[in-house]
Amino acid sequence: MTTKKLTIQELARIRERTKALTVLREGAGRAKVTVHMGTCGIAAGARDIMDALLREIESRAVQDVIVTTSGCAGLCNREPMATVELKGQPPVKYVQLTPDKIRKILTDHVLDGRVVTEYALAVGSETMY
Amino acid sequence: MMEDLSLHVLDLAENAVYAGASRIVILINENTARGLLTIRVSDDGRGMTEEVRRRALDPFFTTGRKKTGLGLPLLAQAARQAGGDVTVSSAPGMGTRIAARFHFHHIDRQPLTHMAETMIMLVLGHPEIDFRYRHRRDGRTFRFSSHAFFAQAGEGSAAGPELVKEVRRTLRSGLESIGTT
Repeated sequence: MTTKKLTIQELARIRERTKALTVLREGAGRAKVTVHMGTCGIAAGARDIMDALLREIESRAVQDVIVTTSGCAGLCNREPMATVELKGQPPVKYVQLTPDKIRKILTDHVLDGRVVTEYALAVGSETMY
Repeated sequence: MMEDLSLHVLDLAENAVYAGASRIVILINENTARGLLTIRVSDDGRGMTEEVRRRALDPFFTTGRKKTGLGLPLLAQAARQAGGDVTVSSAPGMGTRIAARFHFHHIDRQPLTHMAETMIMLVLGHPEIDFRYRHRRDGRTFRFSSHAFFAQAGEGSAAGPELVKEVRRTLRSGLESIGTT
């Protein structure tokens, strides 16, 4: 595949942008939402969940929220799942999501800081076993 | 079961992400005249040993912590039911290439659909990885490189909603221009 060579300036911009997108990993941004995108998650509709989340971020002009994906967490029958981490707080894992549920989670938890307990599996670490 | 082939592409690319890839190349070729659809996903990740490669299509084999690894077997099943096949090429330190072929007009071929959505997830979910995407349909080609895109995207669209919008628009219009989705 032919692709034109990148200049040093372009590489510097890529670096800046990538840094901005991954800023939470260094402890800056407001929140991180991880959509579980293993085979089980994808088959259960994880792409629609992430799509709904990105559209909401787009339409409401939400800044500082990192959206990323992870693999199977070992609870395939509870997919689609997502984990919400607010800076300085333990992660919350949400199960059996729908586009409506993830929109509510964005509004209540990510933007407002109130955990949506009726959709949550547990509050705790990313590793399940 | 995956609803469409673009979900398999997402699954293959996510595998490549977890293989530690820094560049993932996704090639789609829809050739309606020859009646052939090919999907190829290559990465520069850690690769597989021959033992793992040989068993990669076995549903009860995985390198993960679970008892099953269904991604590749499901793809192989989808290809076989459409008169095609899946080839796994890999070696430790040499990355992995998965190639799937389908009879384009086979009645049991799942639709491709939603490639734009699959690419949006990958590009925005893993900005540190350079996704090189080439989609060809009957001689017309759309190319997209995520890092080249980030380099050219307008200022002020670093992480937020503007970038999501730009990525979506670019992929949508690019795929429409070659007559696919």
